Amino acid sequence: MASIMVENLSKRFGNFVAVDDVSFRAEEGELVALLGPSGSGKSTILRMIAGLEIPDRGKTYLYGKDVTHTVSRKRKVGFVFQHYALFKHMTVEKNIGFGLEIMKKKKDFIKDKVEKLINLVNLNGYESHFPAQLSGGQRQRVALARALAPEPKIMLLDEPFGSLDAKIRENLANWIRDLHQKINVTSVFVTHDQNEAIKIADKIVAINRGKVDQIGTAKEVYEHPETKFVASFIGNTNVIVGKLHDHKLYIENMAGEIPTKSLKAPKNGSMVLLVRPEDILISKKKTRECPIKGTIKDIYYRGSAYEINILTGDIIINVVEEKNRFQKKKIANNATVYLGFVKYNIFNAPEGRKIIEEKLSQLGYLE
Amino acid sequence: MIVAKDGRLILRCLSLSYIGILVILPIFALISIVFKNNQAAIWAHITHPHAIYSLKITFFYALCIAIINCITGTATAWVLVRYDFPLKKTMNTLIDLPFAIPTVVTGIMLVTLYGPQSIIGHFFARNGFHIIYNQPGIMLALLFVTFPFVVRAVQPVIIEMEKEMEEAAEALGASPWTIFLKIILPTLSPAILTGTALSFSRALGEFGSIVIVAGNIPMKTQVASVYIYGEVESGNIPGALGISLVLLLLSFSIILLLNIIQKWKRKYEEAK
Amino acid sequence: MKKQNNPDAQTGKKSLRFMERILITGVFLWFLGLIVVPFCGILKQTFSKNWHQAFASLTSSTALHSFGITIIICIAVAIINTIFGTMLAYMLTRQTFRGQLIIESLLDLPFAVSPVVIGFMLIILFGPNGWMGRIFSFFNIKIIYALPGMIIATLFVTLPFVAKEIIPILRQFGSEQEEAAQVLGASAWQNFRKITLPTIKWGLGYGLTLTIARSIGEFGAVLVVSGNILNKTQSATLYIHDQFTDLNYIGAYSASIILIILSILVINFIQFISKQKAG
Repeated sequence: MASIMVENLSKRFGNFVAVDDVSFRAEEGELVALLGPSGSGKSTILRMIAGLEIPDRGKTYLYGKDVTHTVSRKRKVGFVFQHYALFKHMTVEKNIGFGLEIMKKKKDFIKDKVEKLINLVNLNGYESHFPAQLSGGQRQRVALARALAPEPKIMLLDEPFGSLDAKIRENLANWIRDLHQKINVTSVFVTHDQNEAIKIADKIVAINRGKVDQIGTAKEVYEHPETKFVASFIGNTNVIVGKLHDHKLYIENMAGEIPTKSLKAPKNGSMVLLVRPEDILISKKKTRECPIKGTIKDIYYRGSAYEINILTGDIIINVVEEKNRFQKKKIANNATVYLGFVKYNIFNAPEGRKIIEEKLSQLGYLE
Repeated sequence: MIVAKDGRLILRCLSLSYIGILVILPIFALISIVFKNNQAAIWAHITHPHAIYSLKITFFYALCIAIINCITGTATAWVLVRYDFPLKKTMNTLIDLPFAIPTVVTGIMLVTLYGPQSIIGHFFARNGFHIIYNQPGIMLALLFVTFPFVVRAVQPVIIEMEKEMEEAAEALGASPWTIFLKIILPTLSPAILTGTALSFSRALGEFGSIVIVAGNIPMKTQVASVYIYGEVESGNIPGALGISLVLLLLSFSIILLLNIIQKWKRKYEEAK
Repeated sequence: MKKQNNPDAQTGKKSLRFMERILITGVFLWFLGLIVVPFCGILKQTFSKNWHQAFASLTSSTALHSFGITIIICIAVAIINTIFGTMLAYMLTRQTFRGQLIIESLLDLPFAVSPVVIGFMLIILFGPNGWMGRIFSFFNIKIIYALPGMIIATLFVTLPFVAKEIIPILRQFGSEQEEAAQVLGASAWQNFRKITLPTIKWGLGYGLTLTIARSIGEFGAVLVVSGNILNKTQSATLYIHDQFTDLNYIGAYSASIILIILSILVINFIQFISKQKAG
């Protein structure tokens, strides 16, 4: 039985369709990320799970129980708000104890529990501070402790690290990952940061314009994107527009053609090809693997790797190659090189649905 | 969003029926009785010379004090925020005095000071200039009663106004006068207009202080609200109806104006 | 360049300082003449009168009764408008419905309409021939020329104070904290008491103070509605007006002084609350 299951959730605000027929589930103990750009409706989905927003259509189940029409205070979920929503007129202690106070727990019990939580989130010494006296990261941890206090089985986090700076963000993300494993809750968090999602989520639900584009593990979503949106939103990628003709992809103004062998591929039509920078081979000579001619435009040193911009036709293609491998080739600016796409995905042009996923090794190009 | 559905509905019904009975219904009652009465008679009452005159002086003095308040109120707010001088705190507290003092008491205060038996009043009267029971009295009463509006509307805006804006203009070579005209005034103008409109509407409707200071002399000191009171007291409902309707319509247009200013102000805030 | 600029700037500042001084003096004198002098005038007048006479007129049954009426009106209005003003503000900021803007604009109306017109409208509505008047007279309740009418008139006049004061606070506060409390299990009432109320309490206090001040001081609307019946529907301001027009100056001054003392208390309290609100 899934901890959280939503079915066909839809929500409009006036004429704007915020959430459109969204379904997904989170198994017990899972950490699920709702990933998408801002305005894609992911926060609205989270708010519907919490009962802060009522869906126009669809159902929400928590532990198999239909809670679609249950008011939020009876759903017993923990919710961490994007801007924390700490009670400004209460101390840290009072904030954390609020949920327990509402449950009419005994004073000693509340005191004990709050103390434990303060230890857990490393806020010792700040018990009687007010939210205004805390830093962003501290506030975030108070919000977390407050949500955890009533021991919810489900935690919902809305852009939990959204308003923190990069370094604190990373620390907190790791810390939440650990905490999640320690206390065995099912969590759903909303983020627009793909790195964050890849790093800490067990499962990613990619949301685009209110719709679910793909559900899968970080690896699945990154390596086998189902749609053009997922491919381009998660990780860096080269977007190349072209045409299919006789099972071969022709790219306007690019020197060379890319063969596709997949039988699924329609014979003709407009296409978009997406290839990740690390899935491109560079060779000094034209070979069967590397048929596309290009000129090196920029070479950037990136520590463990090099980032190279290559002009082919009138398209710039971005390639990332491991440092030692690239240095061996001794290629300088303006040198002529040949490119080969080791692995790429082709999507039909208007809808962005995947039609071909190719790997050169499958085609027998690589050793 | 917050309350369960029934609770929200109860809250809305209660609040709306309260404002409905207290504010909306009386307005409709007034309008309906205008339509029930002989409209020609009401029109005759409005165009009666006494009525016309009362409307004229009401409008004239309201306009006068609106203009004066617009200037003095802005200056007062500016001085209170930007400069330090002795008794500033006391002055800031006393600004609200006209709001807190009952209008009747205001009237009595003015009569005490400027009435014929007082030193000042006696002095003026000897030179043939009567303040009390005369039109200057209306002016004084209105100025007293409406003094805080512009000050209290403009003051918070000056407090929030960043001095850097003026400094930036100065660094660009603007003279103090240019800074005032091109930087300060445009920033303050929504607030100044709001305060001015409020004091104008208060002046149109003021009753208590005027009835004491200026009395109830037709064609001389009888302002619109005093005229209406006289008609109601003597049981002449149709006579009161017309002028009431005129004042009500003026109030509506002021509210409309306030809403427009509000929208204009919001535009500035978003640009910020 | 710098050296050349400096003297210029200094003279510029000097002339500005001169202008500043004129401005400050002007404003100060205007305020002094307009507000402070009349205020001191009445103080002087009152204290130069015979104390015994003043005390006697203050403790006359008519005077005491009028103050009693004012206190009753004041308490009733403060309670009713605090409750409904808070409800209105809460509804206008936390719910969306058609006609919301119209309702919000209507909140300005009591400030914009002449009190005499307000009184007149209430006579038409609640008078013996009015729509509401007929309903109440069926139950034998007299509204106009009676205490209920005076309370209703004061309610109308003071309606905006609490609501208008709280609306911006609730807007700025947003609903996030309320949502947080709700997810943590707080009921609507718990939410209001523990989260919303502590946030708006100073605004509420401010609005309440203004409501009380206006209830004490309201004259026009109450005069029209009450009929000004001695020892029955005469509030303090009506009493002062009567005494003054009857040329009984001692009565008028002594009662005025009481109201003035109240006013001073009120404005000091307003200052105190403004500071709390800001801090």
